[in-house]
Amino acid sequence: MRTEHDILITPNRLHPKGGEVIDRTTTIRFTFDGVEYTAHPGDTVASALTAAGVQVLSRSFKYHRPRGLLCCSGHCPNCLVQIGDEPNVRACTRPVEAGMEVRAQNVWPSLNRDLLSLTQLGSRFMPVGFYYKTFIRPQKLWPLYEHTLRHIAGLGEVHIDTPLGEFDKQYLHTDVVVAGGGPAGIGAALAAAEAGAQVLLFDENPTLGGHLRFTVPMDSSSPPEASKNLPELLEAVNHQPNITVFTDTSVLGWYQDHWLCAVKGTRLFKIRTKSVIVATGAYEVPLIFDNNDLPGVMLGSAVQRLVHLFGVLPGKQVVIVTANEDGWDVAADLQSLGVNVGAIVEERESNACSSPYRDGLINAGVPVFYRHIIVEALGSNAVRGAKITRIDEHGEISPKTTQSLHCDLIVTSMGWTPATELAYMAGGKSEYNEERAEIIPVSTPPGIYVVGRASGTHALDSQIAEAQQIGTAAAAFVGFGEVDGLTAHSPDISKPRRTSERVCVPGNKKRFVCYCEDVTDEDVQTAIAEGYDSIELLKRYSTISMGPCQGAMCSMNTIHLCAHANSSTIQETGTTTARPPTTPVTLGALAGQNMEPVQTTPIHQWHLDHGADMMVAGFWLRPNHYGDPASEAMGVRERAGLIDVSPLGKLQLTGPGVPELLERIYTNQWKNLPVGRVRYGVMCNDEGVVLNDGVCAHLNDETWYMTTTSTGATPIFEWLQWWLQSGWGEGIHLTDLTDAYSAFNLAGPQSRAVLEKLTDRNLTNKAFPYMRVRSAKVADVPCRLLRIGFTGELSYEVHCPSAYALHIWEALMDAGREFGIAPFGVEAQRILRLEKAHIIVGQDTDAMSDPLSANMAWAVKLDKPDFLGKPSLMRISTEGPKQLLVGFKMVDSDVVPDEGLQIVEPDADGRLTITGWVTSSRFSPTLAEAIGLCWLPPELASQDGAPFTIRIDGNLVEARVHHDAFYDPDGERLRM
Amino acid sequence: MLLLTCPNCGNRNVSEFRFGGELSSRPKDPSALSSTEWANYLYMRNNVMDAQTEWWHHNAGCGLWFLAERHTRTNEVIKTYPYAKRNA
Amino acid sequence: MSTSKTPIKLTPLHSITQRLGVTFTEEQGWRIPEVYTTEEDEITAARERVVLADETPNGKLLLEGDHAESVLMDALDLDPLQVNEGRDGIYCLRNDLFFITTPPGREVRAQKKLTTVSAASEQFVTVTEVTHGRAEIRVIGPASQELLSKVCGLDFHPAAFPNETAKQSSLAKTTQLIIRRDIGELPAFSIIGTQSLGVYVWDTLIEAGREFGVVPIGRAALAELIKG
Repeated sequence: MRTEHDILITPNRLHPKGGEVIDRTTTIRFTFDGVEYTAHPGDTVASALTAAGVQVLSRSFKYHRPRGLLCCSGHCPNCLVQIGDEPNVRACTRPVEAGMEVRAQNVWPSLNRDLLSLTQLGSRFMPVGFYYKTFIRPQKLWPLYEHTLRHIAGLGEVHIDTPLGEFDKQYLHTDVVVAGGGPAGIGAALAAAEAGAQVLLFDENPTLGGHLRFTVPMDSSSPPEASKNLPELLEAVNHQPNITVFTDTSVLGWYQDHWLCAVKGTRLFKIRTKSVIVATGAYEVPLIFDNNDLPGVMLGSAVQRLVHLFGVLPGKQVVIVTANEDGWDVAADLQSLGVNVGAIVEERESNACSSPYRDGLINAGVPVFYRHIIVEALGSNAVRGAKITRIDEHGEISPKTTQSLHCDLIVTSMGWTPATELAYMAGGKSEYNEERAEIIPVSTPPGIYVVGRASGTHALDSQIAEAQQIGTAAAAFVGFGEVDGLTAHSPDISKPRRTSERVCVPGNKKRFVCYCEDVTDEDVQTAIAEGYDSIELLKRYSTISMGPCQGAMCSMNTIHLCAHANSSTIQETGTTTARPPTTPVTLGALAGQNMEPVQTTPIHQWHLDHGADMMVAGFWLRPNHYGDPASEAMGVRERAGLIDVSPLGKLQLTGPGVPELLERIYTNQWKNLPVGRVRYGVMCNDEGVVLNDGVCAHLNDETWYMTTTSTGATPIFEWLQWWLQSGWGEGIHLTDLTDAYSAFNLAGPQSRAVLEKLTDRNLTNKAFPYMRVRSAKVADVPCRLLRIGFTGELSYEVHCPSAYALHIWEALMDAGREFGIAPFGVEAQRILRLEKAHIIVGQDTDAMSDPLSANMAWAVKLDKPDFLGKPSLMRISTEGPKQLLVGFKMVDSDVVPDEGLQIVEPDADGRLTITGWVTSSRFSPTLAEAIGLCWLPPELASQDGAPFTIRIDGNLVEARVHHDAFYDPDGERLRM
Repeated sequence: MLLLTCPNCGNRNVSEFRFGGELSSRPKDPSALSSTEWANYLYMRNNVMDAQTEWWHHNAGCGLWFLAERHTRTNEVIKTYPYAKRNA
Repeated sequence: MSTSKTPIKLTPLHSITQRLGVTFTEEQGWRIPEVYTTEEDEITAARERVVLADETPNGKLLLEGDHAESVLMDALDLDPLQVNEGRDGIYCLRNDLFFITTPPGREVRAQKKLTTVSAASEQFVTVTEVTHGRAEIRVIGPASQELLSKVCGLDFHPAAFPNETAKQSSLAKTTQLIIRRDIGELPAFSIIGTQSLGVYVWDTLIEAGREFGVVPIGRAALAELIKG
């Protein structure tokens, strides 16, 4: 029911009629720039504002000119608004919600009195490409320029403190995708589905139907019996189980192998299909004339959408500018609704016009100006009139015949350009069709089809017939039914042409080609005169088609202007390359849900429950410390500590070929390693660069158990897979047991006493010496024990089946309580290993480090036959290393230099040369002084005690080379 | 090439795979090589704009390293096959 | 030597299920969730929506070698491993690599037999038990295909992914073995992957399944569903 209240505040709302998408029984409220407006559910922000008589929705990008609805289909930038903290929302497609706070973007102080529009006065200083020419010098003023320009230009505001939205992705698989749910798309989908193909049908509107939703009763060119009406089509889709419909969904791009990307709100679809039918319709092309961007100048299809879908008429007195039957359709449509059609300005001669509505309109007294064109929209913030003129026999406008018409709405229906981006992304080729004055697809790659207005077919009956053919062909292409001598393209060009070649009417005011970036036809002429005369260069220089509309409104007109200026044909001028996305998409939708894998060990919860400070190491979460890393380290030195080293890579190698493989991938000797022994090894690539290190245990005859660094588990597994699968795999099986076993290092002088409580295995030094492996039941669970010593203390690495991890860990902690056991984290381990001068691959080495230079020459056996890296290491050995990794102590024992700091050498003039860098440094709680590892020139590194300087915060601080381990250099404690 | 055919698992998204570079093989007797020859093996690649045989690893799948013939300009994958069948 | 507790096997999802306050049961030395809410609600959720079940205790073996298939055939001849009966299954991952899944506890016998047969065959075949290394999450219910399509690029339609087939693929950026093992008419998929990623995969599936009303179910409901 219309109420008096509604009439007062929605003067442009028409009486109810069929086909509307709004629910007039309910009224909701929202605000625009703080003013309250009403809307009905189903209204878009723009339709509700238009109903209320609001015409200015935004200010233009560069000149801050007032802009209003133009396309009303989500394809132009004129209605971009800010809604809450979401910028750049298209008001014409976003449904209104109760309480929505809508604001105009980039205006100051307000939308209707935007003082930034004064920039127009300086427009001669902002010619096309001005940002390449001006604001360049003086260079030191650039920060000021940049600050000011950023304030003036741009669109909505991004709020950094906006809560993260919820976005996600979904994969879809199908035989045929139909992009576009108008009559052609629906017809093609039905035909393909009837043949047996699975079809996904996408449409960017809330419901299927395309232009039938707002034009079907008026289509002048199709005999009624040929057209199924919209409800029948929708019914057929509903009953077709092979079709899945996605509305409000834009297909953003085509990628290789028919991989499509589409977006629906916050969800991104990745679609794997075998065939694509492009039924994305056509964009109505604006006409370029003086003040053509004035609010109240709209496209014919925009007005029809507003009228039929939302019951909103954006004016009272309408002038229709046209060059085809569509303009007459709009006129008849409006007139039937009781709108005062003030005039029809028809570019063609009267005898060229064949609209069935012509006589009716003329008889009703609608003035028709044949062979006339609009030259200027009159008004300041909204249309108040139209200046029209006659076209002379040469096709030029004749200024002396100019006359003004009073009106508040100028509707242009000049022609269409097919929306074929998807077909061109897929490699389709186009040609300019002079009959239709449209660039239409002439060939497409296998599996890609174009149908309906996208292929240049406008008449409904032709669209339906073409859709049937194309749908059947696509189904046949994916294996359903036969191809019946079809060509992919049979656009019906026999129908009267729909497009005028006239895109621009000369004048003396601003005439906009590109609404997004405020580019005028004069700018285009200037750019071409400056030499940017190819369409691709023109695009980049002028930024035409690079804004939010992505060329929907401006591409076709620009091609015409460019061709005209170059005196070449449209075909010669060509088009710009189509690239995804076809429509703007939020970064959130592209990013999707947060999906960052996190690896946790089986006792992760125990760590959390015991106050662990967790750190990220690769994909793993590991305890960095449990409060005090220094005392954790001291606990290991003095009593016993337990660390969760489950992330260590653990690889099982079986088979007779394993010893030979170990010889090839490690730099040291392996063939002689007896069963029950463990050996440390370094792996290099053929460049001689250290890849990884770890121990490998010989478990039994043909079984070996290799450990890698935590972050190296996956890369080394892949590395070994490659060598095994490319020729070295004979007699070897490789299995990744990283997760099958959890590992805990029990370290410290009391560790034997702790472990003895839990196992019957003889742990004496004689029965189980250093660098041995034993299997043993620990706390009733079969485990592998490795006696190794990264920390420098007596220690046992307990490897247990992972489901028993918590049981084993708790048993060790319980058994160790009487000895003062404490858990220790990665930080304490780093201190302990540094005291032993043990390196960490990736911390102390980088992608250039070889083991000879990294102080591991003892682990390189250059006299064994061949191994990965040997030839490179031979050369390094001969030539001598360029840098050496060596330990150091600080002269001032309290100063701990940061890792990564430079080691410098002052020359006679005091200038500094960088001679090395610090890779590891800690304050050693055991020695009570600062220690570290660093890279130094060999001559310096080779002298124990040699002084050198580290630059810390600009100060030069002295350190001294330290050979051997800082703690227990003879390794006695390991062998206790 | 957003689909790649693992000889073991069939067609999969290319994101399941890791590229392993041009097919090149380690010299049988590296000690017999001059420094230049060794450097060529380590660093020199053909980098053709044509069909190229290259390594791929199905690292998010079965773990197979296999060979693909791919055209480096069009990205068209002509065929994929296991290393063992390289001379077939 | 002294131990205070009997060893108990915990799945990587134990801390999650513990937080949810479920009642636990024990099976073959594993502590597993018996019921989360009520058995009836969990069965209804599985039949009408989608549910997750922790099936990590299922035995898992890898059989590798060029002659793995013939060893497998010999082992089946000698004493059937009860393939396709109950919940055993043998899946070919590569022509030289087979994945064998057994009900909890039965992997010991299966491993013993396969080891014996392969030793007798004098072929180079390696049998490795990997039960402890893999988390196994069963996604069950009419919405399971749609849920998985949010985290994995595979086509889960029965025509592309028939029952009792296995594929290794990327799921939520991790490598997983996915086995379709429908329960009667109910679509169901076992997601088997490295156990350290178990919590992450579980959380990701719960998150992706929220719109379908996903809930976890315990042993009781699962047994009832399988019984039919």
